Amino acid sequence: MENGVQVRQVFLVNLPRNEVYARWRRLRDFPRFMKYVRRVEEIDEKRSRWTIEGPRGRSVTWEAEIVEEEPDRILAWRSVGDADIRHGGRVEFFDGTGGRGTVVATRMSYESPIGKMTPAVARLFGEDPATQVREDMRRFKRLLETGEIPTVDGQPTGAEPTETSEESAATAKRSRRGRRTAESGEATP
Amino acid sequence: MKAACWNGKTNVVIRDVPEPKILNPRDAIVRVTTSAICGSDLHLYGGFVPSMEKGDILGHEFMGEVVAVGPAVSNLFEGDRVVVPFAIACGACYFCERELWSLCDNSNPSAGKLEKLNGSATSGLFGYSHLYGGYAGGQAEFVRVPFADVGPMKVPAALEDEKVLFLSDIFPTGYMAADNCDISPGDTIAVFGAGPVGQFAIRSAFLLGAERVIAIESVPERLAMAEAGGAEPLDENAGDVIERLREMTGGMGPDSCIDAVGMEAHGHGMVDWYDKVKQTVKLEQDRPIVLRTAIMACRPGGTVSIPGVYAGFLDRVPLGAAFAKGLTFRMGQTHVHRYLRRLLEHILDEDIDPSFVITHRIGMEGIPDAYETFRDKKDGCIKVVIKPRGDLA
Repeated sequence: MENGVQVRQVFLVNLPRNEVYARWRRLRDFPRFMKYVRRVEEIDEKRSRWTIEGPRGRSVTWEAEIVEEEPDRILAWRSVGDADIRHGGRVEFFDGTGGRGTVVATRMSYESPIGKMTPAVARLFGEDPATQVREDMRRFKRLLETGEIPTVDGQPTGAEPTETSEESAATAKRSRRGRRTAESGEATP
Repeated sequence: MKAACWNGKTNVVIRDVPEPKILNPRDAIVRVTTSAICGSDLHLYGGFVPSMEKGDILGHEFMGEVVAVGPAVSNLFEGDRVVVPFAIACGACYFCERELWSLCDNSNPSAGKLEKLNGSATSGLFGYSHLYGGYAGGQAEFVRVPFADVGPMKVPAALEDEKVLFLSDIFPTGYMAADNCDISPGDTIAVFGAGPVGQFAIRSAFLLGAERVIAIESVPERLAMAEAGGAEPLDENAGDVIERLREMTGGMGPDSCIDAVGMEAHGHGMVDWYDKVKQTVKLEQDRPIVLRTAIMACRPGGTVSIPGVYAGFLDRVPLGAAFAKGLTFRMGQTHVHRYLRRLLEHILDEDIDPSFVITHRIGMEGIPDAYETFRDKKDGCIKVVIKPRGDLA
């Protein structure tokens, strides 16, 4: 689609299907593993209000409703109203073969109703949407299996404190990531 | 605290860095009492491993005393003396449940990058580049240990550090190399390379029931150490290795061959990778020759076991010979956790004293020079241990 993106990803979570489903059903926990989702307030059984981290620290909000729910099998939602972004997600849960836990198969879409990619959509999923969703799902799996998300942010390093123009691209990238974390005001996952 | 930091190719510096903090609920902080330089650290030192960044704290063989634990760690306490596996494993994923600890798919924060490179991600490693998670390593006074409720093993007070330190890597690595040979009574095992891992592979092969071990090596003191461990020495510079191995095994060839040398080349993306490998092949002719020789020497139906580190692509590996002879290949990073208790028992039973391999003992300030000494095999150097707080025994 020209004015949006659709992404499919599958991931195995090494836990029983009912447990995996129950954790995904806690929409309010999405910010713990979805990189750009800052807050999800559950208004009632079906409706929720989402706050997304937009470009340059500006946030985007929309309301979403659950449109399909089959416990331990399927959960789907989509945004309602006239927000700048239309978002939909559908997740199916299957038993993995041979004791491999639960297959989580997601399909996410983001589109702009005004017919072009707004900066917010581009920011969310413009560069590599598949990777973005995959990393979100990896964090979900890790949080469920281990109770935490592995990190090295905040560990000691012997890097020189003052960066010069000769510093490697990798170092520069790291510092950009650091600024973004600071902007969002969130604890690092 | 003081830490040994990678500062570019063949450049290791001691820097003052902040002490590590608990970052996740299952973390612990360990005060390092003894650490070591591993042969695989030389790949980092030589600049062969991509995704190293200046300032990265080196070291993945260490032990020490627990000084802090996160709220989710209930089996370790301040004051516990532990040895820490170099591979970080969560204990809960598909791979950990099957004792494939170094393939843990939850411990590597850079999993996405490694997945693109290798098809799948594997575990985080201490002090071993950002593709393997970028975890600060153990050539330092303190280390943060993730998933501390799974990895660190408490060690009996009666055993001094030097007897248990190598449970962190090279003893299990040599042992897994031998274990991967599925040794039957009467077997002859050829071990290529008598560096620290080769030395432990030799002794482990005997522990696992090998009748004969042949050590192929060119450095005299390493051959002598192998011989002291019961191996028959074969100087690789003294004639055709394959021919002599055949002669020594009644014309059949060794039942299994262990490549404890590996190859010093990695890269950053496929094309770079391939180029760098080819470049290194030209510069360091001996490295791919080991694997090739092992394949050619091994008896039909035998096993080639590879604890030496490989990455990327190899030219002119005789897969046709391997296929024709029906060889089995076993390889990979060591599943350290799988072997910890078994090997501690061997130490307690005095079947082996792993400290035999140590040739050099240094403090923190000696680390930069020791990298060079170890790389160049100068001064009889086989294994360097580090006392971060200077209390050299």
